[in-house]
Amino acid sequence: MGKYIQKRLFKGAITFFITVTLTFFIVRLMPSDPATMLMDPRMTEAQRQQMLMDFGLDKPLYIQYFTYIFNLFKGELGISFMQKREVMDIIMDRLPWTLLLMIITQAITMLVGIPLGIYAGYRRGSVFDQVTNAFAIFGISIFVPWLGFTLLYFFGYRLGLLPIGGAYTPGVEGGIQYFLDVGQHLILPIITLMTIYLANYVLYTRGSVIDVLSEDYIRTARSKGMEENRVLWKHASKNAMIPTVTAAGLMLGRMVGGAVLTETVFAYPGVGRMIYQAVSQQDFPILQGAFIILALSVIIMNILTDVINAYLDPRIKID
Amino acid sequence: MEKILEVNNLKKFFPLKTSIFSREKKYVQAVNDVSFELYKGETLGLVGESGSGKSTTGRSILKLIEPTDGQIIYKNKDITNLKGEKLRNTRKELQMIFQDPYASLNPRLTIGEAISEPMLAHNLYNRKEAREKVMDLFHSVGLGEDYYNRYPHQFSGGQRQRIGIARALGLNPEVIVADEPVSALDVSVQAQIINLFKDLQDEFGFAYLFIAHDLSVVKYLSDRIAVMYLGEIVEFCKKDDLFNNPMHPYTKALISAIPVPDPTKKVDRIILEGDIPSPVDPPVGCKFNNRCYKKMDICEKIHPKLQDFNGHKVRCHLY
Amino acid sequence: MKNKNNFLDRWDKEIKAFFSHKLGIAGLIGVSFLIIVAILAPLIVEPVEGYGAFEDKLLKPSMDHFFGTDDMGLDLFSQVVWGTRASIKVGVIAVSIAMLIGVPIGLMSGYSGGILDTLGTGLTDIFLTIPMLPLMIIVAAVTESNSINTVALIIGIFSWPMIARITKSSTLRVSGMQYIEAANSLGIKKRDIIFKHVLMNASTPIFVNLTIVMATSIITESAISFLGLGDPTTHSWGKILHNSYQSGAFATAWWYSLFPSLAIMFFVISFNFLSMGVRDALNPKISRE
Repeated sequence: MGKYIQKRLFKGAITFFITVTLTFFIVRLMPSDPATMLMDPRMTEAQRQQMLMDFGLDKPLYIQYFTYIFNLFKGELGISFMQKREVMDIIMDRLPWTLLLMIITQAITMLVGIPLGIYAGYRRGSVFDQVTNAFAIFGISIFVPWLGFTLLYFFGYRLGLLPIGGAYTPGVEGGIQYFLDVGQHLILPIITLMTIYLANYVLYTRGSVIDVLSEDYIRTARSKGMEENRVLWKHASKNAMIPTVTAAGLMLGRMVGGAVLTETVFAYPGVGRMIYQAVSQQDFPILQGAFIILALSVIIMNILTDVINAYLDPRIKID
Repeated sequence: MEKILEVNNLKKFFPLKTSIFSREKKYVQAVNDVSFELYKGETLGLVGESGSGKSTTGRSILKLIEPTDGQIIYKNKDITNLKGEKLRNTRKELQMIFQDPYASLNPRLTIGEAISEPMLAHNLYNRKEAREKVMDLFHSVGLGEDYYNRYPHQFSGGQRQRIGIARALGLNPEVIVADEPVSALDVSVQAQIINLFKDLQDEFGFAYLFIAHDLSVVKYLSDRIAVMYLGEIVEFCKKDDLFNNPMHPYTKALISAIPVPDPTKKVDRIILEGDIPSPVDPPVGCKFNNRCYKKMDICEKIHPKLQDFNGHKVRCHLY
Repeated sequence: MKNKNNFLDRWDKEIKAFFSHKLGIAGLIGVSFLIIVAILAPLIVEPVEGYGAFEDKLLKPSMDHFFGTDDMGLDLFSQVVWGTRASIKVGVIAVSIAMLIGVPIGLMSGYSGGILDTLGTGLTDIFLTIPMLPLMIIVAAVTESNSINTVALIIGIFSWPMIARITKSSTLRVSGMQYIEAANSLGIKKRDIIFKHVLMNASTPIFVNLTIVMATSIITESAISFLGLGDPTTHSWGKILHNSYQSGAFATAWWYSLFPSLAIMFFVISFNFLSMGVRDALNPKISRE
């Protein structure tokens, strides 16, 4: 197992390395003048010169690249055009909110989606299955911002039940009050974000269970007279879950996209909304920094899911 | 008689995937020091049980598997290390007929396409000529002309094997390696196909390496027979010599197992005790010693060499 | 027997299986409908340009305006119809590019093994891990031309790993078949073995993924357009939703956001049904849904 973790960490490191390199080249080799990308056009000449030196923008590409990597390790991601602060600081302010949203959503999605999918697959063709299937198919085709807004409109404006945006109400003191307040604010964003991925999970798990149940070893277990519950749990679910946990890592990557849209709609102060604002303000250092940090988060979470998967699936460790 | 194929000291070892921690490399010794010659127009039967290495030998000769060691000489040219375009060109003359008539035909090609494709690939004919040649081949193997546009799944096992034979013949080969071509067929069909083999050889004059696990199948067609056990040839002689005067104990056991149609005739069946040893760890001394009913002390210690008694070769300490 | 060497014959088993599958047929109808609307758009509605009349702003759906009007006074029904064209276009371009890149990589990986495989698989895994939308946002933000073609191109370029992965696993399965060994023994060129024999038998799961990529590409395009990075001149559904959000009339003019969202939903569901139909048609064990 240790060997596997080592290999996996190494792979993650390479992925991160490629990601940052990709970002570097995208920003710098695009048709527009790269210097404009990273330097605010309203800077004074002196500031420009300073930036040029700091980021080595006047030097050849490979030197820029190494400066970039070096700065990365120092934690320097550039300076935001709009806010005139270190990108890293800005992101760090907002990252915890995004992680909070994503991790809770991911947890609920898996805890609810997997059992639903397993049961639907098991009772294939039943009313429960058909209804679940129908909901799931709708769920994966819903447009996140529209769902967010509709929920916001009904529960926020019309019924006034839930807050209409943000992550917390200013002025609420710490402790239990704060938790409850944040929780209230999280309800709608979580539901919005969760829908597509929950639907994905249900469909995926269901398909996986159907495939597994048609395998011969299930037939063998049943013909041996094994109790149905045991068949379902011991053989089917465990094996069906393996591809699902694998898929979890991939879903996380896609969930980032959903988070961007959700945070925008709910004015939720996370990295996603920051990206939206940065796009409209053409604040490239933030875009670049946000992407790198998000990618890093996803890579880390993928490593975690893979290790969990290796724990569940005995085949992976022996390689 | 003209020698068309010569195999010298052929070896094929497959590396075993061992755990990362063990330094030792283990090998499956599938073919270990096999040598023989094949003469133009003759049929050499290669017999053995599963795991004897006979299929591997056949495939190694055709370079479908890369030999680990040894020489393959075709028409006095060493083809052992041929690669790329040269190898591809040589393939015309050394063809294979496969065991599984269901699996060896591309399910999405019509049989007309399947047979004409190799001819066109080697630029032997143009499209029109190829089609005519395919019709000729149909006649030779006993298929109707209107089968040209049908797909493999529309045929029976025996018919598919005929298709496979026609396909191999299309390139006018000099040597055909038939890898258990009738094992997958119904017994009633086997006889037809074996007869077909004989007729085709009379008509076209190619040499056969006929691989089988059943001596009775090989009896009718072969001029000479080689018996393999655990990767080695243990007896090699003319057909009549083998059946009239079998020398190796293994051969004798095989012959005694051939069903005799006369119920009154008493047959002394020699039943071999013990299991076939693992090809990864072959026993020291004679590889047959743990099952041999004529075992002597020397058999456990010294590996017997292949000895030639007037054209009748045998690998046994009894002689 | 007449010469029936065509597509329908080679795949007749699968085609039969597909048409016994209700969802698949529904999907096919939906997709066909969308394609027809996309092609016939100019015949159905007038091109939507410029500004509408002031008094036409934000009108509710009516007989004059089936889907109502937007905050510029422009008819939404026309916009949604034209949006169909944009959506199909994006899907087709994205899928073509994803296939052009992904299929050869998957084929090489699966057939050749060795270094090519390690490289191909490694690249695929890495790109699958990277969060696509933020990356596409950066690329879209940095590229000067935001035309719908560029967006489609970008989506295609980032969708190839999915296709590569499925191609590889399918290729692995086929490469072990005896008819591939036979093709090799007959002296067929390696290039032909991979791109003809292997491909024709490995392509079935690729078709499934094709339709899925069509569906996801519209979701991605809508997201990109919604965020304001899309083509300002094209009426893609995402763009309509962007306008709707910007106008601040999201809450009051429910029709402004509902109809484009329904269009997206219809698109995605149709292609997903189609993919389910294709998948079950190709899977011999599960023939009934």
